[in-house]
Amino acid sequence: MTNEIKYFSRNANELPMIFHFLNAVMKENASNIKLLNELKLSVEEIFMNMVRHNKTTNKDIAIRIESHKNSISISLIDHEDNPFDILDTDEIDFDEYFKQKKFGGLGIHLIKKLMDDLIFDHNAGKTTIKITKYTN
Amino acid sequence: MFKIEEVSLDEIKLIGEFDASQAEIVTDFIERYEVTLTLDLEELSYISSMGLGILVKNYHRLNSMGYKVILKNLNEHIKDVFKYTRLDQLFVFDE
Repeated sequence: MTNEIKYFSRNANELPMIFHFLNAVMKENASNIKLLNELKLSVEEIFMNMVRHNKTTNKDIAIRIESHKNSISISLIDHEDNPFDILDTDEIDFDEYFKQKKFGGLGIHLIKKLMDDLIFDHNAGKTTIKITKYTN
Repeated sequence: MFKIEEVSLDEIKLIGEFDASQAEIVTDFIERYEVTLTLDLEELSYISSMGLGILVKNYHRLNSMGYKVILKNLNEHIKDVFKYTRLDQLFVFDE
C-alpha cells in the first residue's frame, strides 16, 4: 500500500505538478491510461472548484493518494468554514442544458460518472473530498 | 505539455493534456475562427471539464453563425468524456 501527501498552492498552474505527482505515485498503473485520465479529470475538477469557490484562505490544498491492491483513493483537503458539498448537486437536465446553450458545470457530473465512490466530509474547518476507483 | 497548431484555415490540432491551465491559450486561439472548424484530437491525451466547456462555447458561437464544429480521431478516454456528458449528440464526428 502507498500513502503519500503533497501540498499545492491555489493556482491552475499547479495542475501539471499535480498530474506529475499522480503519475509518480501510480507508476504501477502507468499502462492504464484510461484509469489515470479519469483520476486526473476528477482531481482537476475538485482542485479547481476549491481554487475558484473558496476565497476565504490562501492556504495550500493537500492531496493524499492511497494506492491499495484493488483500489486507488485520492483525497483533496482544503481549509474553509462554509463548504460547498459537491454531493448536494442536482442531476443535469441535458435537454435544458443544450437548449440554454450552457457550456460549463459538467465537472461534478463527470466525477460521479467516472468514479466508483465519492465522499464529502467537513470537520473542524477542513473539507475533505475523497474519490475512489476500483482497479479490479 | 500542451500544444495547439493550425493544420489549415479550417482545421486545428490539439496535442497533449488540455487542462484548466491551458484555458486562456485555447480560447484565444479558437475564437479567431469563423468557419466550419475541424478539430483533430489524435494526439490529445487528456481533456478536462474546463476544456470541454471551451469547445462547447465555441460550438455555440460558430453554430449561431451557421457553421459546425467537427471532431476527429478521438481516443477512448476522450470518447468516454463526450459520451458521459452527452456532447456526442452536439458535435459532428468525422470517424
